[in-house]
Amino acid sequence: MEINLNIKPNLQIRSFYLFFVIVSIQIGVGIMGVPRIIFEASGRDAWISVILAFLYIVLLLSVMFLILKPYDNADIFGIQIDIFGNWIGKLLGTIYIAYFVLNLFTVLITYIEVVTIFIFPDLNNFFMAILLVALILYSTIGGIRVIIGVCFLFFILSHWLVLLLAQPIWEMDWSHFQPMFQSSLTELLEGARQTAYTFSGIELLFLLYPFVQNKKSVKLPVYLGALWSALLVMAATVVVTGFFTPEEIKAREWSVLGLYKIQSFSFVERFDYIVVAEWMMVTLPNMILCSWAVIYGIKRLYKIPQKTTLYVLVSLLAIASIFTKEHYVIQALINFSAKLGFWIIYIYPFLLLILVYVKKRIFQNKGAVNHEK
Amino acid sequence: MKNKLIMLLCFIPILLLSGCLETKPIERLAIINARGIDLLAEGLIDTTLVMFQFDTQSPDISKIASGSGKTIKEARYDANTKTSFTLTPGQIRLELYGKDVAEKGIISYLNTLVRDARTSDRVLLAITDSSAKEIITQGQQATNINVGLFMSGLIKQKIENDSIPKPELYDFTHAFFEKGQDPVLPLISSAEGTPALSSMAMFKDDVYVGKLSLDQAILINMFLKTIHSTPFDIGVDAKPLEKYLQNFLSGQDNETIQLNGKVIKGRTNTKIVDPKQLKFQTDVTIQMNLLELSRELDLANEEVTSTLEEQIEKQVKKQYEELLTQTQKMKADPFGYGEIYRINKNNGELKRDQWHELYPEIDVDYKVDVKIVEYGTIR
Amino acid sequence: MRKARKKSNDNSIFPTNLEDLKRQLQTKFDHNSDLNYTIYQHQNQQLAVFYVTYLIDTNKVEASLLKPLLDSKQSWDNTKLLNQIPLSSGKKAKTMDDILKGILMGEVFIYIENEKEIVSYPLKKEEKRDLSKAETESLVLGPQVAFTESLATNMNLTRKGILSNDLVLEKIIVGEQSPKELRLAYLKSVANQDDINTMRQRLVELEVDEIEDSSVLIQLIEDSSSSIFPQFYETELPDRFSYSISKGRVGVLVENSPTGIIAPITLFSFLESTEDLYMRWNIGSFFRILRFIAMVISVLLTPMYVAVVTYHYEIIPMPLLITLGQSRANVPFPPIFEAMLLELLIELLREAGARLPTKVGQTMGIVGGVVVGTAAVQAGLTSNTLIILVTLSALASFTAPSYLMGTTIRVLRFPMIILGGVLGLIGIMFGICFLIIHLLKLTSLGRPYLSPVYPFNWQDLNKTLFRLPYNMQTKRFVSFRLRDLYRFDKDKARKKKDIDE
Repeated sequence: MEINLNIKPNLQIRSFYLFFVIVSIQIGVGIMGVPRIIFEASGRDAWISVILAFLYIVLLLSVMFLILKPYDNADIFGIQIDIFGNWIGKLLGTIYIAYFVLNLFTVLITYIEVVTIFIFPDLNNFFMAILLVALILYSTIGGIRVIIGVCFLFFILSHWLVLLLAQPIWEMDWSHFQPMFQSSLTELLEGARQTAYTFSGIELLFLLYPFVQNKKSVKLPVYLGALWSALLVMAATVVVTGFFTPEEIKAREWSVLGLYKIQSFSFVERFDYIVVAEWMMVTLPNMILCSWAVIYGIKRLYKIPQKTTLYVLVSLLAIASIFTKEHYVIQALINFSAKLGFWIIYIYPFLLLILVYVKKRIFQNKGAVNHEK
Repeated sequence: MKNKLIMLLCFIPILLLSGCLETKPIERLAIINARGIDLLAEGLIDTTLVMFQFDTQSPDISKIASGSGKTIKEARYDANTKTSFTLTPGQIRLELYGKDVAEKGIISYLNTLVRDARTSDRVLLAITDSSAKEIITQGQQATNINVGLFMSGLIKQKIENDSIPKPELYDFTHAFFEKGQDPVLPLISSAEGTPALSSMAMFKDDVYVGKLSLDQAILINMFLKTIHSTPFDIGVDAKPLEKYLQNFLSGQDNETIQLNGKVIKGRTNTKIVDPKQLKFQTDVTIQMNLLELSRELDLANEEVTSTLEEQIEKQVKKQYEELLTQTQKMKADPFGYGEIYRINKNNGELKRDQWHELYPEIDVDYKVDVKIVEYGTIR
Repeated sequence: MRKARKKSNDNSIFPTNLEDLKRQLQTKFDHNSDLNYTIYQHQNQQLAVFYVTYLIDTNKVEASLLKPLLDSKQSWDNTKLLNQIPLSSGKKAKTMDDILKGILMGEVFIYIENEKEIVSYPLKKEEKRDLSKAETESLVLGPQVAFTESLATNMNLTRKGILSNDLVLEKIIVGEQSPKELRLAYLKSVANQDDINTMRQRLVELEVDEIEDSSVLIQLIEDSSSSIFPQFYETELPDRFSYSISKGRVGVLVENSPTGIIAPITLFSFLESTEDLYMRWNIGSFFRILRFIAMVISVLLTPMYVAVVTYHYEIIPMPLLITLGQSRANVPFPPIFEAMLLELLIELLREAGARLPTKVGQTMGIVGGVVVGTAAVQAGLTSNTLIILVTLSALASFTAPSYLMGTTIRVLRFPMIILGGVLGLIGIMFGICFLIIHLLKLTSLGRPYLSPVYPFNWQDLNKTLFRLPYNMQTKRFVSFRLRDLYRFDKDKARKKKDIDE
């Protein structure tokens, strides 16, 4: 398997779209419930935790760019094989893909659960899964151009939801933030760690990087995308903390959706129904990107055609959704995904960085400057 | 060909699904828009439901049904056995609690409301003077329109001009869970059968502890938010104004002058002066227009206006102090002084009920500043 | 086809005598008595003149051909014929195939006995209607004239629109059984070469028996034939056709078809009308946005009603709930059935109206729909509210300047109603997502259907979603990568004069 990739010009994407890709993959179902999780860890100062998490992500992104820099046009699978050799590299790549599958699955079942609770209590899991999976299939089969397009358009079409936060902001109780800076550093860091699931997805950069057309301007959109997701999570956390009392936050599983429950206009009495339906546009790009990562990764590692993997993947997803109706199962899966993600996304790149540079140093000493192509 | 296959794949499940979801066409529903809750003996809940029922047979679309059970849901199912349409709670706009229920605490009923994704967080809550059932059934006969809409109208118009604190489900639970604050709700009584918003009910946590007047509701609301264009009545001492009175217009000699005005902007700002001694200071700023006076005054005279302003300030301060002592007796804090106390505590934590013990001890210094902006076209 | 032509080129039937030729022709035109074959004696020569009577302008034949031919005092041969007969574009032919084709194309043949070739003149009598006003794409402002069935007229109109020698009208013949002439129109200094090549390739490689009309041609050469959306624009307005070509698109005119094809286009092209250009920019923008909203309303309004009334009574505001409830109370059917019934009624009326002779027929159809609708309400078959919604969305669908797009929008409503009736808001959302993904996948002549929204290009937004004053529209459509991007000098357009200058 070659380490560096040659991407055809018609498959390349403008770096400016990375902004939308990063936001789309980070903002999915996680943001609906994350204010509660952060709040449980770091209390009134939850917003500081979000800032800490963002700073960590900026650091992480720079590390990721540093890892990619020595290579011409490689992705994570190529780099891992370059560093660890064929066998371990492939194993690690498989773990990566498995993580994407898990993430995709949790998003799918969480959205289904939300729809079940908020709109249709008697909705059949399996059929809802088939609906979503059909959309995933239909867009993923269109290739990277359509996938990026879905991210871009759905980003624009779903961001009006942010404007609706104006109403709860008016009714916020600013005393909920006071007194400030009471939480200890460990509590704040624990809160930041709790955002792991929500902020996950930036690892997609490792896969998408070879596809970017203008590599020089790749950094800005990525950082801006991470900033935008952080701002959204921040806004959600701040509004939830200000709007609900601590007891209420703890009682509400999806506190952000709770914010929309008070919305009412002269033409629509209840906005939460529309918001939950509209959320499909938030989750879909997320799931589509994940499934692309999976099928693309498998093709890279095992040379199985993308279409075959895609059909297998979506059928597996639909079938698996039958067995995850109970809330605690879903929660357990999310927790597992968060834990796994924490190590894979947030810790592992640092290790990889060291290895990449150690290897580079060794090769340089031996005189072999260029990597094998 | 493949595209067509995919399209088919997308549409087959939809066809299969058609049998899976429970439809709720509005013409087959009895849509509850107000609900009264009373307690019967042996812990049974009695619900009285006002609902819309779109029946071609009868021109009257509002109906009343009642049922009883151990839980609210059970009571609703019981009521449903007496109606031909399915009772649905998705459009409830008003929840009425009988006095008996309110005195025992209403939070458990509210929790079921909050938990149900179908009910809105914007449900209005109110307490009735007698049993909720009585108010509703008598009201329906007296008003001849849907009594649920009638009562929500009563409350809504007061909310719109900021006369009473917002009594929506969200506001109540918010005030309830806030450890340094207690909720207030409107109290509906029956005026010869017709429901009327007569006063406010003060809660300690979720338990009804006493009545407050509607004038006091404005004072409380001014604490919770900045109020705008709120009708405002107050009686001031006539003595300091005596020399400006234009007696030739009205001969009667009253101790007080009744003022009617509109608050353009009224707000308060509270500081804690001494956390140890529980000393607070509240600055009240009111800008108002004068609309009506019970006795004629020459308001073009600046001196008169400033004296009048002074008198109003004095009166407002007095009212605030009365309200404070009254609520201190109930050990319930509608203002949220406890929140200010909590903010200024070291760790920012306050235990439940802790504030109820401390509240009677607090001492507030009210500094009122009233400004009369306009006094009508007669200047 | 080409092979056959090459073969026949070699077997010339000339020289021959006139009686032989006549016999040969008559065997080819078996049972066709319209072939006029006359033999003239002139200066001891025998001349044969033959043509099909109704294809030929007989006055011209007599005045310009037969008169000089027979009045002359000299003997004729082919060279003299071509030089001295006062008719242009005479040409020589050798084979039977060419003769037969020529006869059908409206040519007059003259054969001088014992010559090696035969001479022909096109003297075609073209039956065509006069220019008339546009019917399906009628305008209030701007040129009203529409294309006719005559290719020559259409080319004339196009040339009149673009007075430039850059305009190329490439001739392509398509159709094996009955060949038809097409013209590929583009501006060679502006249009993208890839677009021209793709279009040409698609036309040339087409292997069909015949092309009935330009709309048939569109279906044959479209990017995706399974899609419900039209991917080429079909217009009957010469000004729209020439405007698009002057902005760098490629056009196709088809013989015997009163519409021109424009490609590549985007979804938003279907919401643009040339009228937007003739109006002031702010008003033009308003109408463009209005049409966009109309499209959304048209697709979503009735499905929303069905979804909300079937599943989500919670989101209806109380005053509306009461009116809705009362109007629904009389209706014995579920909302989805009710909506389908009414939409079907409107479609029936529209279809019937379209078959009526004039535009009045259409208007009458809609009015009739409302009248029938009211009766349906009184009979308790549908609810008042739905009548308003259905009429509104039907009306909205007619605002699309392109008739094809209007039809697409109206048909789209039916699956959406089913989705709304089966799955409520979730179903509608599913439908919207599906549509957007579908539109993302579509291409027109290989160019993305949703550009400039995706791939995003803010410079093009002012040509699609809205319109800016002309001095800000210095560029042509950037997304299509044209050869010549600039329409006029940006700085000159921006230059402002001082007061009193």
